[in-house]
Amino acid sequence: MKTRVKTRVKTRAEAGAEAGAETRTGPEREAGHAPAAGHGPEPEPAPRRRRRARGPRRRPFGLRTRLVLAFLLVAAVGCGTTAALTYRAARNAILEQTQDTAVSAFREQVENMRTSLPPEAETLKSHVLLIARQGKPRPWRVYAEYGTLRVSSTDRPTSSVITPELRARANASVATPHGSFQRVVKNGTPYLTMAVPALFHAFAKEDAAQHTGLVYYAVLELDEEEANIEAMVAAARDGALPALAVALIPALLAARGVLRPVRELRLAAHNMGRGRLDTRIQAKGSDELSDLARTFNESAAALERSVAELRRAEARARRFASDVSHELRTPLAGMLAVTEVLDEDADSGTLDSDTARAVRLISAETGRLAVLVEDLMEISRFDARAAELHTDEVDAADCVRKTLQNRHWTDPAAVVQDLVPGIRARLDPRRFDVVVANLVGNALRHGGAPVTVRVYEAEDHFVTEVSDRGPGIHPDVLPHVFDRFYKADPARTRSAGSGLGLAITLENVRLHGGTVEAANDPGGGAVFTVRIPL
Amino acid sequence: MTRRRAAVAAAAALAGLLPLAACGIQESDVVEAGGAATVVVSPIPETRTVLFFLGPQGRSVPVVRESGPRIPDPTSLPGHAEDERVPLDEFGPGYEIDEKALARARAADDKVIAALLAGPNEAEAAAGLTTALPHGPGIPHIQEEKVTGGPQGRRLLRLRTPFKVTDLPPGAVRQLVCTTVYARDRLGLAEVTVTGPDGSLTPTTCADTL
Repeated sequence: MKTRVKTRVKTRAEAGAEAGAETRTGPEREAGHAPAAGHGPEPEPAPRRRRRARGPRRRPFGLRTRLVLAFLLVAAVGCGTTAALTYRAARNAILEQTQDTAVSAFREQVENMRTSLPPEAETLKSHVLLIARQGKPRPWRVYAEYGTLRVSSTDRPTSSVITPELRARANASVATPHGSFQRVVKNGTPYLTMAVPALFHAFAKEDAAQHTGLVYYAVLELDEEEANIEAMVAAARDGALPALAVALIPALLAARGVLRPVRELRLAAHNMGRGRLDTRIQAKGSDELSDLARTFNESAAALERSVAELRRAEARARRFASDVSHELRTPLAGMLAVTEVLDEDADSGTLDSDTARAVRLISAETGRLAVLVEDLMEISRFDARAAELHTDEVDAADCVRKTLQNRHWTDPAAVVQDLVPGIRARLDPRRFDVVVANLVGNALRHGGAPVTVRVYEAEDHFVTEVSDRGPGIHPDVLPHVFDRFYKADPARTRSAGSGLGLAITLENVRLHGGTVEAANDPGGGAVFTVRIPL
Repeated sequence: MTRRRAAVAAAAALAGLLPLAACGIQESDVVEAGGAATVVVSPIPETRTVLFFLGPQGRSVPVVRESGPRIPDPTSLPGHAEDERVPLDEFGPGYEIDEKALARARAADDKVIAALLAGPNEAEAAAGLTTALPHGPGIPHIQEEKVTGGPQGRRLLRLRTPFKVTDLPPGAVRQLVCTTVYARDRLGLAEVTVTGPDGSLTPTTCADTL
């Protein structure tokens, strides 16, 4: 089931590859001069999410369970109703047939009797025994009552199964007496009790028949009928259970028919969320779910178009910045060469003092412009994901010490070193040098001396901490210190830095997979903390 | 529909099925089924007397006694022409009897009432039969009354009793009426007025006294 779904939901790129036509026009093509754009648009695939999305989750009240339950319920109600109605009709038919047969047979047999009034006990006994033998559908027990006379076909003169109601009905003084029966359950055994009053014509057949006062009773055990009825119940049950089992099949089929498109949609939505905007679903059929799939495909296409548009715009902007800095570098190189000559002239005193000041100003600004252009190019490399990490296993403390020495920040009054030796880390020494230099330079420029540089190990990271004794960073500014060209004081438009130093630091630390934080020390001064995994 | 409501509906549907599926054989009320049985009672109608006594619960119970041939042997009957004989239903041709002999025989009907007043015999008493009629001297007498109005074929009989009748219980009245009717009228349809020294009862038939 899982593999099948995988094959059904395929990205357009896969489909294109299958077709043998390389139609990939992904954003990686448009990343321009980015050789390492192989990351593609897929940002870090969280392994936890992937597992959750792939694993077939068991839900106690999912669609499948509900559909199956609904089907089973319908089947159970259907089977149950049918079985119950059939059973009831059949039971009534069985009982009615037995009752009718028994009552009419009993009456017929009583009618064959010849008696005197009052009957003689002996004669009556032989009658009763005769009737008892001829019971239909089975032999029954027969009782006869006349006045106080009680005669039976058994050894007991009367039956405890015959109810007073039946007796009262049989003896009722009415113009036209009737035979009657009653079903009685005693000690779990069902009995059919019948009463037939005997009438006679006093003299003539045309005469209204008179009650003789003689009543015949018959008691028939309904055990056979009960067995039949129980067999019917068993048959109904045995028929209903397979029907329920059979109902499971359409239930599961229906559930699958609904669940498969839903699962495809979920997988597709998940793929979209992970950045595979070219995910599409096969929309077959004309039901609501395929409508949904079509809508999904249209929305995905629209989304893909707008995202591609956005990416193109972004790439154009980045390339513009990169191109501008490239174009600026060549004239700047020339200008730097000229300013060196001018600086010498200004220092030699051949120029008058106003001109010399102007020349020095131009020289300094040109230098800053060159730094700015370099920083811009560095930043645009990061934006284009063109920045590469050339790692080497080095001693972190050595690295920091070398950086400080190269920048001549060796005065212990200005920079205090607190470096734990022997921490081996995989670093790009050039980039780590930029990070430390930017942070220390920033601290020296904006904070107050002494600047403390600490390197120590914490769990699976090594920490580089740069703190100063200056006024600290205003809390409003704190979230923005790593933004590009962010000025803490809008009025102060000019500063020694390019405005990109901390942004470049952040990008470099990220490239190492680490973090950098800016904070204020409660004792005063700003603290920048870099954590890089070992 | 919420899940709970669905569950309730399902439970209700299943609960509704339960009474349908009440298993096994259920008890029932007393159900009338067809007519009663008509039996042949001996002795034959020609030699029987039908008396009405009371059963254990005060119900009217008939007894049939052998009374001997009330009708004289037709062959020994003198002075009657053959053509005056009437057929007797029970025996068919060859057993015709004389109409007048029949009427004469009926004069013995008072004996029937006397037998009724005498009460149940040994066998009848053994079967639990009793009488509600008083014992006493004097013989009741049945006489035919003239019919005025009413449907054709209506017969009216009067039974004169030596005892008081207005205070008799219904069972006793039925004993008197039915015995009188069947003593005189083979079809048992005649109306009987019971008259005692203290007055008469309303004319009634045997069937009406039920």
